[in-house]
Amino acid sequence: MSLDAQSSVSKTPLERALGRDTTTESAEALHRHTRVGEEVVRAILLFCGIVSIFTTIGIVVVLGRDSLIFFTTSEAWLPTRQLVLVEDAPAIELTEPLRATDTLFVTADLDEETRRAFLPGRSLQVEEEIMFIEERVENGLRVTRGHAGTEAQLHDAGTVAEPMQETQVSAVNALGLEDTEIEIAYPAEGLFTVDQRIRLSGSDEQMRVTAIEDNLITVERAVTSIPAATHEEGENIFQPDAPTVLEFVTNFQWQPQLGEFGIIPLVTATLMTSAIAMLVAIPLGLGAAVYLAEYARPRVRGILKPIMEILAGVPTVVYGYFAIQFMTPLLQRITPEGLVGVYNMASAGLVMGVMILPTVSSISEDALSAVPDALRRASYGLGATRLETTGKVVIPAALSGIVAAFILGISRAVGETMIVAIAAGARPNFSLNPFDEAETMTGHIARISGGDLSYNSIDYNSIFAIGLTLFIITLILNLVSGWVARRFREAY
Amino acid sequence: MASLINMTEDQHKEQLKKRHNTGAIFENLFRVALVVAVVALITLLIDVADEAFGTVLESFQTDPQALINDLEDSRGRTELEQLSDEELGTILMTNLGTGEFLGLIRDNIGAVEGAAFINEPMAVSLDGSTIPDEMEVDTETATIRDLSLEQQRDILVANASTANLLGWVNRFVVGIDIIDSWTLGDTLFFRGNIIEDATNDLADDVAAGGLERAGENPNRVELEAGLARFIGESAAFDAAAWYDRSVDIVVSEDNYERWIGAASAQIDTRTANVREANINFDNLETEVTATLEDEIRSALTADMADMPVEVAEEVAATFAPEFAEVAIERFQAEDPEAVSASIGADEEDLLESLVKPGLAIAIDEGTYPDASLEFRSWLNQFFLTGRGRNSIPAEASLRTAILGSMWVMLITMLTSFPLGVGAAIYLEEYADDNWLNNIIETNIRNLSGVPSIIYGILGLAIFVQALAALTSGAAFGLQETDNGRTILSAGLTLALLILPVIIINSQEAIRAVSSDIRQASYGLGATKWQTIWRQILPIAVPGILTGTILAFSRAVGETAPLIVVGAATAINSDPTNPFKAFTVIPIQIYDWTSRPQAQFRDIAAAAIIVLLILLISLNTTAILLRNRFSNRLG
Repeated sequence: MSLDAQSSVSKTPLERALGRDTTTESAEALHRHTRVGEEVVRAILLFCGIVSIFTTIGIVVVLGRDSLIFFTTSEAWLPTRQLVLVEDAPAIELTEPLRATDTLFVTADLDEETRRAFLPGRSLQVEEEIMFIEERVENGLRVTRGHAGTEAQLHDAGTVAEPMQETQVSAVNALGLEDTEIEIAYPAEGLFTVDQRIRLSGSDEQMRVTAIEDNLITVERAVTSIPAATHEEGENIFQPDAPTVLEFVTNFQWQPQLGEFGIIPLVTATLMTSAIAMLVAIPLGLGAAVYLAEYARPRVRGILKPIMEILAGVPTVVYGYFAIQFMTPLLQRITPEGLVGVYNMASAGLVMGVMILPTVSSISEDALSAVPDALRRASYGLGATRLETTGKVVIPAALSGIVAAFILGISRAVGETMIVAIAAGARPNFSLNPFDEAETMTGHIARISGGDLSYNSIDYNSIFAIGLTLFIITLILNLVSGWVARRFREAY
Repeated sequence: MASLINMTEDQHKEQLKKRHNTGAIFENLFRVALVVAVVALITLLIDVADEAFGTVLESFQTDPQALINDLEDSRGRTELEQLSDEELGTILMTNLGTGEFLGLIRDNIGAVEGAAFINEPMAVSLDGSTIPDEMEVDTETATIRDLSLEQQRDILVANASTANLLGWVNRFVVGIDIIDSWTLGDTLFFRGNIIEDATNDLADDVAAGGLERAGENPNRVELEAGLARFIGESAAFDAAAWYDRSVDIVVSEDNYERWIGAASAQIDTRTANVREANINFDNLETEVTATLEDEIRSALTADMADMPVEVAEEVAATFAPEFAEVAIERFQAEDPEAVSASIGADEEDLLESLVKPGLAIAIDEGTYPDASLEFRSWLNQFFLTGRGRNSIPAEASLRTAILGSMWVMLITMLTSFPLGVGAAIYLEEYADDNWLNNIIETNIRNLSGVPSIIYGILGLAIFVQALAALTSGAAFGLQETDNGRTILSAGLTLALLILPVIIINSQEAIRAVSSDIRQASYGLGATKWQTIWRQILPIAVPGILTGTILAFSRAVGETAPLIVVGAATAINSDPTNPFKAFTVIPIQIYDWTSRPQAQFRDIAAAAIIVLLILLISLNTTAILLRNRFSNRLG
């Protein structure tokens, strides 16, 4: 600051008045003198500033590291399943030929027993091919062709199909501490691969498959730090299923415990609720902002602005209560019976829109108020009405701020937790129907961590992967918002 | 602009009118947007108030009135709330077993646990509790068991609040259970619906109770009489009337008044026929009996000869087949088909036609023996200060959550305030335009946009897991839990969450200080820190505080990060240090809102009121500070 410059002058008036004989050197000395206290204070304050950087680093490191753990070391142990023909079950006959591309298995009417054998979700075998039964239709079964690694083939009319069922593969023999051979009831080829790890239901001991021969699996015992244990007869064999980044972004199911690691249903639910929220918040927020900035008299403004501020200050958990207590019953009342469930995305989204409305309106209003009056006067001078001035002059001039407000609103909607955790349901569910129940990313994190979560479980690790996705989405939105505000700002 | 030039004046005027109309329409649309926001807020507040107060249907094991009647001086009081602390203590003392009573004292005011409480001298077992002066005991030697029951009661009363005593009486003696609840709106405008609902709630119980009383192989009339007696004697007349049979009714001194009132009301309104009622007045004194008997007889002998066909149908619907034959015989002349169509009615119909009307009257008049409709403010003293059990609506309390919120806020305040203000001072007063400071600035702006649940994840990984030794108190020898899910972790997480907000707000407050003041201070030879500490901060403090309080009010209502950090929902003991497991008000609201039973929604609404009052007082403080600040600048 300018203080330093002054002190280098040989004699200040003040010094003369005090009768001090200050030479240039001593002034220089005064200048260079390090004040320890001052420096300490400065360092402390700098530290305070840097803490915020630590926070960001913390977030990035924690999310990154644990997501990495999720994608590399965490795994769900799934029981090994084998499709087997159901014994003593009735068979059905194809009444029309089935080409390799057909999905309708045409057959005669089924009696009660046959129906039970060919339930949707089970499979059936026709010659070499296995088909998965999707649903029962009027004249037969809707199937997925070429199930379980078989190939879709042409089948003639009259071919017989037998029902199949999944059973868990278990070890036929008991295992001592030293035993390395596991016998199973089916050919091991296709069920297991050499070098993969397996586990028996009795303990957490992990084994590595070293060889496969007919019904015999040879294993190496205790390949991890967990020691070998003895195993009883008939223990189920589990195989690890680890999430991959590719599966994470392409799978349409999220069931970490069952080996389904697709974030898509969580993301679509988040986008659905956010979209509904923005459908409410954008028109209403902009309308409110325009009214407050362009139309309202100062007295009305003085009343309405605090109300908007109160709305902005209501905790989100209260909005969650509002959604389930008021909005959901309201939706149920005004829609046909049975359309809207107790938990649904529409109710959460609508209330979220109300929650975001003050954010959008207050930032938009700031942008509108920042437009110089000269523009308005010029517009009026040309004979424009107030609406024309607002719509064709003021809003375009403030557009950067308004768009930034919208994007910020979306970012808040995406990150909002409590409303969706309470009102949108607790089922990761891929659905584009707003009246369906579906869990968002935030809602899932809240539900999973609500219980007593044990560290290093697959659920624990998965919240970091979801958190990272969420963080990236909101960060991008925030950066875009800031960029739009700067880039398209009209300078006056 | 050819069209403009070619326009006649009329056309122009018309177009102008159109433009103004469009303008007016849009103005109204803009206004509607605001109105929607205001309506949403009002609806929210009304909804909360609507749920937090209302009528409840309470059932109890012991009638509170009976408890009051048992007291030495019971006159004029009908509510437990009107009793003194000592009387509440007496009720507990007389109605709980000795062991249970001692257990209550031990669990709530005792200083030691288990058997030590009755074996140690009172100086140890009741350490920290008040022993009334007039009680002449040597606390160094006497144990609690050496005291008389009355003395034990006096100690309990001296150390417990009225709200707690009332809560214990309700929980352990009265055994209140809330069966159903209705909102304030229903209470004010739809009492009829409430009584109908309450009747439905109780009808099954009543039927079950009536069956039980009627014995194993009930004759229909006995059954109905049993049902009726259970719900109040008035309906017994109905039973007798409908079945054209006799019924024994026992009238005693404490029920005759309501019995007469209800009975005559019933008989007058329903043109039923009572052939014979053996009314037993043995328990009454003679002079009462005389008038009473007259009244009843006159009521009974009123002319009820003709029964219209609707009643006949109802009778048929009510009657079991064997009685229906009688009914048909009697009403054959009127409309035999309608009657025979109703034959075969089952118990469900009996319930509808007989039990429910009687029950409704009993509930409405408050004469139903084991349950009553009461107005209840879910936001009451016990809810705020009592020690309750949060899994039961009638006994839920917010006490530990309020204390938990205070503790968490204290930690948050102690850490985020100095750090935030420090960072703001650095950025405004010290920072040059270099890369480090630019990063800090940008970073803070971005941090303020990070979803709060991400902070929860950060807190979970850093404070709860990595720093578990520190946050669980193990490092200080104060370990209470085996993990880091403590008040300290929650407070630190929230501190990180609101840090950017505090920094940004404080920066603005500091920036607003006129630079003349800085120059003047430097001119007088002050160092930089002296200038900041003595000149800038005093002026900026109101602004800084305003921003900080607003940030805190955000933290108070924050739920998501605390769920992730690991808030508990049922904490029964008050938090006494930062290493305890915690719950806060918003977490309780979340927990109660997520439960399916309607009563939990009512409690959630009461908790929301507490939270909103807390937030409004915080914000009012902020606004007052802001006004003071702007006055000073002005």
